Amino acid sequence: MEKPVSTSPLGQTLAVSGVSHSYAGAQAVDDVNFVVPAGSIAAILGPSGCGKSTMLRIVCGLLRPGVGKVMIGDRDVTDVPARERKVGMVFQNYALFPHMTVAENIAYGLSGLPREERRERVAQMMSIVRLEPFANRLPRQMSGGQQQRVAVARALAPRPALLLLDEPFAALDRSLRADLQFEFVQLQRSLGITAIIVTHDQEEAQSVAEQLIVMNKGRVEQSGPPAELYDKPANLFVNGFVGHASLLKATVARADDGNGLLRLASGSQLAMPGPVGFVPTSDVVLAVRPEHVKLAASPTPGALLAKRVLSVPLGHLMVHDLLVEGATPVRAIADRASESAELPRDVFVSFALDRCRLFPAP
Amino acid sequence: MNRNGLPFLLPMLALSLAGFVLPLALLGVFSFVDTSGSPTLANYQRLFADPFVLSVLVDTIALGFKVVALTTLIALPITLLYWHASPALRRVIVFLTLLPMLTSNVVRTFAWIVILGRQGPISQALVELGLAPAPRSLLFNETALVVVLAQIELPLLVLPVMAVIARSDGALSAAAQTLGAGPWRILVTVLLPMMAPGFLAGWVLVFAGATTSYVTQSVIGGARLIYLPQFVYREVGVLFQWPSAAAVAFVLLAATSLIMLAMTAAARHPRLAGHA
Repeated sequence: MEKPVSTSPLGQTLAVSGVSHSYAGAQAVDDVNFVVPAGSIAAILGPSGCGKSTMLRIVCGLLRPGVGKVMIGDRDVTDVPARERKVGMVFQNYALFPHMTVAENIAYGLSGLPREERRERVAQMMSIVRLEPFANRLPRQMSGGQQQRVAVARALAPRPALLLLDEPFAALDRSLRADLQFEFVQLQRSLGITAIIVTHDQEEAQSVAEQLIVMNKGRVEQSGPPAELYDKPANLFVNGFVGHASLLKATVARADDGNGLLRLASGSQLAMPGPVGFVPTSDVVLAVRPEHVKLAASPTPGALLAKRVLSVPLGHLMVHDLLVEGATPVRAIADRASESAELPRDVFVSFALDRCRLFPAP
Repeated sequence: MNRNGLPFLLPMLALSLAGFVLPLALLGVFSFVDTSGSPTLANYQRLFADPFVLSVLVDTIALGFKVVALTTLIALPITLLYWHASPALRRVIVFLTLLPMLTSNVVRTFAWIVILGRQGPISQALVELGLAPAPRSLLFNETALVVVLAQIELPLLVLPVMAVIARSDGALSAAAQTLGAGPWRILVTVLLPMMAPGFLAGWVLVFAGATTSYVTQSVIGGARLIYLPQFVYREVGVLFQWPSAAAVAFVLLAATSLIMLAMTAAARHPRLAGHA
């Protein structure tokens, strides 16, 4: 006798260890390790082709990894096929069954339940995603946002141990996306389910997830809370992928005492507030977040000359695109309230160097 | 309603009016007059009183359904393979499906004469395997005709189904798997309903093709198996019975139209129309 679906506890820990997989010789996923604690949301973030979708297929059991182990709770599910794994999945274009009504779609994963219980569960799921009036609609008669909610309800109905979402908000309008992201986080919190979102959109990942797993070329570059990845990116890739950063090429001029000195390609020098961690003459890249760039109309000590290419207001912020020393593009963001007067075309920029990160030149 | 497209439709409308609707109307008039030219229902009365004509009508419709059934059996594995195939393999399957259509119906029919004939590979193989005492022709029976028509009409069924598959979400069966469904449940509850509009469209084409395929019916079926197209030809070409031929043609037209209308109506069901 199979255990009834309803007893499967929501929100279990997912642990992926040493997972590698290749398609026809091409390495899609290479030695991936991460843990998603029970009841939290993690986002697998990366450019297209980075292996994030392969990772999702491995976690939900549609793909068996060549090497490695997938654990859900204390159950090793590496060899358990998708149909027995009890992992809910929301597909990129929702993959709703087009010939079934909303209620039938949601009931699809409940075939093991007695009829009465199944009807109750469907009604409960439809009220959770607020789709009760649409029970007898067909998917194509509904909007994109409603279809997305049906897909979430269908995946959650069998009470999975884990919920996976593949680019769940990508097909939606920008304004609708923010609403549905908020709604999804509320739902996830109230149910206490463990969820993993795959996305290429770093803003979406940061607004939804408690943990980011940044992937590139089949490898995990860094994982951790969004703020940690933003403030202390492990490498240039993470630095560029999570939030915006302007890159300045430089050479280490002095590293002998506590304070390092950088020489930019233009010849200007930047005095670093602490040790740089590189030997002199190393080629390095200084990564500067837009909010760490200060603009001034008149020269200040250590400031560099820059030309303002474009300044665009963004809500209460002002986004400046600059050309520093005639060559390096740098983006700056400032509060519009703090910019008392109109800036001249030629400005002087200084960086909050204690907040900027240095990486070896690629 | 935007009517600006009308001028572009005119050549096609004129052609179909002059080449199809008008002759059909003339045929209709023929079927309601006697040899002297006065109006009568006698042609139809004679037809339905003749048990031979009725048996030909029933045989023709039965032939259509048998070909549809066999074509479906052959098409199903092909379309399922197409569903699971990579884009490269899909192109190969489409090419192989279209390939026979590049040769004419007549050529394909004559190729089957070679295959099914007394000296053909099947007959020879049966003798070599000891399953038949002497080589014999496998032609001139209904089974052979159904097989040949199924092969000839196969692309007309496979192509519409492939068109439906190409437009549907490839993740559907993966979605069903994550919801706990096994392969048979996915086939019956997800894949077949998804492909149904394509099958309905293909059935209409195959049925129409099989019931009206004069050349294949007469060459493979032989002179003893008579279906409505040959019957019409005999009435006109041998007996010069235009009124009676017209009546038979109209009965054939009405019978096949009715069946095709039923299939088309089924395809317009809201659950199917969404992705047809």
